[in-house]
Amino acid sequence: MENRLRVLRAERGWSQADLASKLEVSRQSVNAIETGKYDPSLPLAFRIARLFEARIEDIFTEPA
Amino acid sequence: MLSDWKAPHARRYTLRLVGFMTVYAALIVADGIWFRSATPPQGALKYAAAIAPAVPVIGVIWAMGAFMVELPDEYQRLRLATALLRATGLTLGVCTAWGFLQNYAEVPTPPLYGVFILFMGAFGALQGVSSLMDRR
Repeated sequence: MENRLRVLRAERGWSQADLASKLEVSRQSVNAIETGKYDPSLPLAFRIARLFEARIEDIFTEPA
Repeated sequence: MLSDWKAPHARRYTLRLVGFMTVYAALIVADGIWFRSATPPQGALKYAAAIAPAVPVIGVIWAMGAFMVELPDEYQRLRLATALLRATGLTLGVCTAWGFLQNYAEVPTPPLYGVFILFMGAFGALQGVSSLMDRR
């Protein structure tokens, strides 16, 4: 999956640690998701979407 | 998180490990003294005393499993499960290769409890590699 997590985070001026704290996950998790090394579970994807007030498909997209 | 050793699940894991390893060390010392004494254990007691140090080692394996179940971070859980599977694969591979070496090349026979030490060594090394790769 591709995602816009880094962009959304940067727009809010949050560090990876800030985002990790808001999502209650590790900073390594945020980094792994941002770099595409790890696709989050559906519950975590929903938490991310809720935090950014967006739909999951607006953040996570299938590679073209 | 895995790196946050003050988190409740990590504290529980550390306490369990320290507890099991303390019992293990005590049993090894006790067995060493008893089996070399003038009145070593006999009969069924000999087998029970000999197997006793394995029980806390099995406890360590359980503690590792419990840690994985209690780990709240899904990515850390995946990393841990991957390292455990790779360590298992490596240990099985080395043991199988060593078995054939014993058959055909007359290499010495190490004690079987060394398998757990090999597994823990492989697991620790793989965890280290995984942490280093995460920093990149």
